[in-house]
Amino acid sequence: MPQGHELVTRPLTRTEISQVLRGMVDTPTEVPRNAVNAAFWCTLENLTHWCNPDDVEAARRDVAAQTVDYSLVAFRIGYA
Amino acid sequence: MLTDGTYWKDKIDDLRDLASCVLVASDTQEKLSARTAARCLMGVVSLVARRWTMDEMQRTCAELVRSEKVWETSFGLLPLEPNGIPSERTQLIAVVARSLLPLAGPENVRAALSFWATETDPGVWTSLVDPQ
Repeated sequence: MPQGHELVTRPLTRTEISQVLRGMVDTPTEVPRNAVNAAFWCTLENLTHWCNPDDVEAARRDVAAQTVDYSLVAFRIGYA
Repeated sequence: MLTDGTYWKDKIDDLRDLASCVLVASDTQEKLSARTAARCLMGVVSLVARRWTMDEMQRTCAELVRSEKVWETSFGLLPLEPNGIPSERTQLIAVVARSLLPLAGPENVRAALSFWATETDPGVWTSLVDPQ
């Protein structure tokens, strides 16, 4: 059985959100960037609904500041 | 994926067994639970269901769960379409599921995908949003 399943869906911490966002940005290049972008944005919106919005925004800024993938420029300026 | 022409939802007991971990209580661990992983996937599965259909979303999740090469390679290899490339819906879900692997572990991510592959009751979906 998988470990750690509980009925409470706890919000992700800022660090965890950063890891999820970073994981998507670091998707292997075999996956088209438009798919990465779409997955990134809908997940970001989803996280904003149930995690601390300030943590989500801080994590987004952290990841945006670290990425050099300009095909993801849309998400870097999306909230600017 | 079933290849004998049978409707794919006629034989999903394996997926239901895996998905049960999203719905039952257990000790809380430090890593993300199957339930929380399912909640994290909600955004992308909703996108796929809206852009295609609910059935396509669930079939895509089922294909990912059942593909051993997906789990052996941590989503490095994805199920292919007849044209030799993964479908866009597969890519979308795989991007998010892969990002959850380090936090939730493959078993919990697989359980979460199984949940979305099998669950059809909107009330149960809502229970992820509104904790019981």
